[in-house]
Amino acid sequence: MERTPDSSHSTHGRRKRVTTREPNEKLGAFEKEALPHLDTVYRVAVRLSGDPVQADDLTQETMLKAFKSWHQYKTGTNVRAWLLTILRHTFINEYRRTKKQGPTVDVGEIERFTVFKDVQETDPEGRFFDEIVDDEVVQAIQSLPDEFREVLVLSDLGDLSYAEIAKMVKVPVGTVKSRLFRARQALQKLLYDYALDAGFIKRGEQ
Amino acid sequence: MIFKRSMIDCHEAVSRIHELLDGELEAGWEKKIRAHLDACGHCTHLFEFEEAFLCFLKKQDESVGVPEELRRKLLDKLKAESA
Repeated sequence: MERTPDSSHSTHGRRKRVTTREPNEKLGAFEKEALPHLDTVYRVAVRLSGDPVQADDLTQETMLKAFKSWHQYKTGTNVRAWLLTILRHTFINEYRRTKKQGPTVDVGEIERFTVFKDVQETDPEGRFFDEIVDDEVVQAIQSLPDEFREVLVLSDLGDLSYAEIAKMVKVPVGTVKSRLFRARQALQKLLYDYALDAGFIKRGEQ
Repeated sequence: MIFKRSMIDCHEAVSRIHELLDGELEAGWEKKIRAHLDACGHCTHLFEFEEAFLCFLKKQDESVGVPEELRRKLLDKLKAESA
């Protein structure tokens, strides 16, 4: 957890002013630094929970918690990573156990670059992806096992670095790398199978 | 494909393609992989396909924004919290 002890406030240039003005200053700082990431927080919430109603609650709770502990945010560090840490924590502790989990895909079963091998003759540029709608993507992400889904969501939607994710999830960077790669390959395969079913693409002749 | 000794092979190149796409490779490796891609059409196509997939995910994502009502509700709560 990235926490700054309360006593270190003065080192971050926050000078004590008249007490009555402080709440507005806090709100101002929060609006300026944290709120620009609200869309990202919401998107990650939708993808993690797979449920728009839950994503609304999760987003609000994350932002309110962040506001209440704004004094713990270290000025100059990645505020998006800080917000997503709170989001992940809230999700795991309060939401994940109520999550309706459907069948998950066996990520280890999927061969590397299998989709590319299939479409390299027919659609090497992957144009068929553009036919796929958002709901399908949300659903496909839901069929990834938890530990793979969270790494994919934090990287591809949260735009965090491998090191930031490793710190957050508490696994080595190498584990983040391999989970992310396998999660992407699995997601690609799920969306490709969907595109085949929907007729967006024909199976490549090998 | 046969490459000069200083170059890496396809297996090594593709194993690091996602790190390259994520901007997570150190400069030395990035140079080696890019040199391989310049010389190898197959790996270049694979690279472009994986890149297209990640772009698609990003584009999908950018089309989703926080609902206006939720934003309003949140701002009200933040104001109430700081009053």
